[in-house]
Amino acid sequence: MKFLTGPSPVLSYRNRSLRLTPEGVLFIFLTLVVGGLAINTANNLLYLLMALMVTVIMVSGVLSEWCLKGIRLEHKMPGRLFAHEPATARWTVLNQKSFLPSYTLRVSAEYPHMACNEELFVARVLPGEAQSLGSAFSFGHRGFYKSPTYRLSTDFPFGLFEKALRLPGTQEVLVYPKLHRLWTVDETFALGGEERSSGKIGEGSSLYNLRHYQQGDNPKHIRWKVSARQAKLVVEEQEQERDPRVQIRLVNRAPAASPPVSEADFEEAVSLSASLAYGLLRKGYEVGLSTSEGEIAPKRGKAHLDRILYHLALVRLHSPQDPKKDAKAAGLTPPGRRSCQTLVILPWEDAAATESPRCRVITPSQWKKRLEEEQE
Amino acid sequence: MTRPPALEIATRLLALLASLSLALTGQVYVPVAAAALAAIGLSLLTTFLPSPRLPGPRFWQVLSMLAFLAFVIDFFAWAESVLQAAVHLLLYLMIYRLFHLDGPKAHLQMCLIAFLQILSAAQYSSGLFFAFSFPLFLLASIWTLLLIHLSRGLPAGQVRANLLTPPFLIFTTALSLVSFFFALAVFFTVPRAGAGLFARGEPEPVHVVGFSEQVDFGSLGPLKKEQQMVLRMTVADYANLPPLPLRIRGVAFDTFDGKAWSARRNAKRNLFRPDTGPFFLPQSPRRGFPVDYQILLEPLKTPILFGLSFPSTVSGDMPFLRVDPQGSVYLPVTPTSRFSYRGSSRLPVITPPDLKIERADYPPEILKGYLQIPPDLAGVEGLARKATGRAVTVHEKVKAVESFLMRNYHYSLDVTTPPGKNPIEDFLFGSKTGYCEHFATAMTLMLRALDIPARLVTGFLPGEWNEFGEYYMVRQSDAHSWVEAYFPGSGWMTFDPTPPTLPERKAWIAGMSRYLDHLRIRWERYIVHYSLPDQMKALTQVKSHTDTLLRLLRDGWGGALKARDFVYGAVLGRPWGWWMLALAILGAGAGLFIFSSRGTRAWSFSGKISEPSAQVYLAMLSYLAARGWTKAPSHTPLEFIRRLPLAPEDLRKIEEITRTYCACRFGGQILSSEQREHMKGLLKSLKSSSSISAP
Repeated sequence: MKFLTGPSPVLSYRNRSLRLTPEGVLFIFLTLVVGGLAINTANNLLYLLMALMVTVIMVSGVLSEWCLKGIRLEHKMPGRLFAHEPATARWTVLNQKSFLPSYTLRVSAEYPHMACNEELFVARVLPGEAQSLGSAFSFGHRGFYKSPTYRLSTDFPFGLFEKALRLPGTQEVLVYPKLHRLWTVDETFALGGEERSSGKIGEGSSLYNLRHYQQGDNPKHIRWKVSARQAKLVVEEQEQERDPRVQIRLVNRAPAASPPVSEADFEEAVSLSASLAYGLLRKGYEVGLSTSEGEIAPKRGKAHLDRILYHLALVRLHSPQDPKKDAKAAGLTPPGRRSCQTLVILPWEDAAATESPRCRVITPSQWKKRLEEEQE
Repeated sequence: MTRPPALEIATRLLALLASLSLALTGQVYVPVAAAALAAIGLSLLTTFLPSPRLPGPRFWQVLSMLAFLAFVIDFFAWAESVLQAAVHLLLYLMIYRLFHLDGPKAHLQMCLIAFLQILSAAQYSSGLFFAFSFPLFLLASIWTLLLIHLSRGLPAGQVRANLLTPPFLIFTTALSLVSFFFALAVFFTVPRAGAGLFARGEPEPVHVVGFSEQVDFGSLGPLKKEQQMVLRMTVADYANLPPLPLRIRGVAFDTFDGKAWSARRNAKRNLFRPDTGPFFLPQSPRRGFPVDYQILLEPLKTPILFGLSFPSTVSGDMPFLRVDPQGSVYLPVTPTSRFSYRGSSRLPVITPPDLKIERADYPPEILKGYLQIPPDLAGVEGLARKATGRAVTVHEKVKAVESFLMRNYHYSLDVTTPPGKNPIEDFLFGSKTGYCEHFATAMTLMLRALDIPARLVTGFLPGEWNEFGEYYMVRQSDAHSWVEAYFPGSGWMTFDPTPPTLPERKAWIAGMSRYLDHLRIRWERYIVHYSLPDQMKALTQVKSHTDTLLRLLRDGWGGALKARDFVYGAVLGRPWGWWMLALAILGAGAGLFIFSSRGTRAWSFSGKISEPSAQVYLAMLSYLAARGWTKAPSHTPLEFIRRLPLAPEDLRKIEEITRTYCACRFGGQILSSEQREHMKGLLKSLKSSSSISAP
């Protein structure tokens, strides 16, 4: 992994930039020294040496241009990107030139505020050849990342200069909040005690009814002991179980009376909400999300997870408003859904927050403590 | 990790070229140069050994301390300059680095050391060996730098396995060639603004004897064993020269005291030239075959201005000349650098009346100055009369003496005179063996004994003809002395009694020597001494030629034809014309390349490109169309397939090509080289299918 911002000055012209490497600085310095010596001594052999060095510089420029010319790049990002989560982008580097290879290419896609980006190194691409390679990268913050800059560079042939092509791209990337690994998410936050019976026949583990066997019934459901007593085949019917439901309520508009909310704590709250949603959905819960900007009803599935993560990737911390709205927006009032357990994620410490069996309030000190325990 | 052998070899080749260049300047102590070259060979050997046993760190610590100590002593006691001591230390650093090449950075440091060596060598000398070492150094540098660069980005094995292919080596060599030509173009166009404040001193002038106002007898002998170049002479219209002997005249002597020749008639007077044109020499003959020539004189420790016998005019960059009554020409001061001048002479031809004269009436001043004989050489007259025998005319007598010496005396440079004996007397009556000085002195004295005015002249024979540069190469070994005898009608005529000798060197060595000398002259003319006036002259010529060309081109078709002839004559007809044309084409090509790459987007995410799959698909459509199945514009590629009444096997191939094309064309898929080859294979097998062959 390598940070892309370099310390040396960069010359830029028509999307191309030229940066001197340390060896290049030494080379330029030597060229100037030899030029000075040639002028002072009027020694033509020193002029010849200087001409050779100038030629090396010119050849470097021409060959690096030749290396960059005719290269086509294809950049594919992974489907889900999480903040601070290393991911691998897939690159395809195609040399469209007819008969000239390209050497020592470096490829990267740079987004504003990108935390870390590994340059892709391609030693050689023959004419007409395509090479597919992966490069690691990560983003430091959740949210939309727009207007990437694609960078193709080479320091071929001598490593004296690094010539780079920079072109603006239109690809947009949505980065989801950072995920914490919550292995025991339901136990961690004492979830799972609510009613799961639905009152309907279906697939489940509890008995709903016994009836006589009918053609087409699954023989596995025959209750043999009861059938023996009644001398007729009796099958059992099961009650359809309803999945456990959790509504995550992220408080992103603090009441006026609450202590000031730091950006870091809010980001941690968002991250915790995303982690809970991810962990609970993986454990079979139906998960919903509500913030001051809207509500997503509890459901299951990957598409639903993406909907929640999308919302969390873009959620913002709002400034406090009037007290009535504050109370509702803060999520401190009990939720309306009786069959749904609610997890209220508070980004500030609030000792007065009331809890009930179906409404659990999680404050920063609590989740930090639990996360430390999880880490251990 | 093991470095690739190619990089190891390239780095050592670079070190070898730099060290050799430095050693050839002659400014490095022989033991130091030998140690450096041996270290290069040894370190190269270690790269081929699987597990070489090299000295440990303790050895290098001690050696480094000793090297530093030697540097200090060298700096204060031995070395002639700071640079020389630094160069010796640089050679030690090279040796140390050669045995510690443990990474790309170490290789780069080795490149830097080699560069500093070349830089030092260039400051020390400008010899011809640079003409060879510079291009080779450039090639080795490019090769080494490329390999270092590639070895940085890849595992070592991959450099050797994948990149060091014959095309790569051809590429680096071609790159070096192109770079060299570019470097030459830069070299010739960079303005020579050199102030020369710290210019190195001129080389020490060549010491020559025999060209002063008094010359000890026998002093030319040692000179004739030296091979150092003295002058080079080009002769105009060389092919039409008459078969007359060419002699490059230096100094004439009139008095011999038995031990030395001297010029008593040496009252020199200054000779100034007219406002324009050459110097007209007062002693120039009125008759003779005219010859024009140019002489490039090496720096000699004598102010003598050499010219073909007998010079009539001289032109060159000199304020005035000095001449003596015997026709010897002197520069105002002894030149300290190479000096070029033009001259015209008249090769002496005796007049018919002088051939028949039996007793000549000589002018009194001639009789007074050129009949002197040392008193202790009484037997010379008898020998002269014996040699002339029955010769009647003066010319016959002169030729008889010349022939007598040529036939009866032997040429040798190894002459020893017994103690107490007069060397010329020993030559004439004793050993009868000597070299040109003995022969010429003997003839002069014999002619004087016959009352024929004569004098001895020292100078040079034309030496070796260089067919490559079309000039005469005159070395110290070509130093010569001959006789000038006076004839009333013709003036001074040259005679040479020295028998000819065979060349000692083998033909191929002589040929190579001539070619190297030709290269040396070119090297020094166009590289070492290339200057601002040369640049101005070239620019003026370019401007003049361009004006002429434009004027001709304005005259329509006839002018264009003339312009073509003019270009051929002005550029391509010259020795370097084709090289200049090649350079111009190279430069234009590079410019176009750079311009075209600047003007277009080099790569794109959305641009339409000619995919390899599209090429194969279009080739397939073309093949099918030739057999009667043409794709209508209204059909999509897949609709077109469904309408083809072909065998299922062929349809499968067509469909695979079409789907791959669609995936690339509309889906953005990029084919790998294997996939591309597979598509081509499908098309090839389709073409060989029997169901498609007939429409």
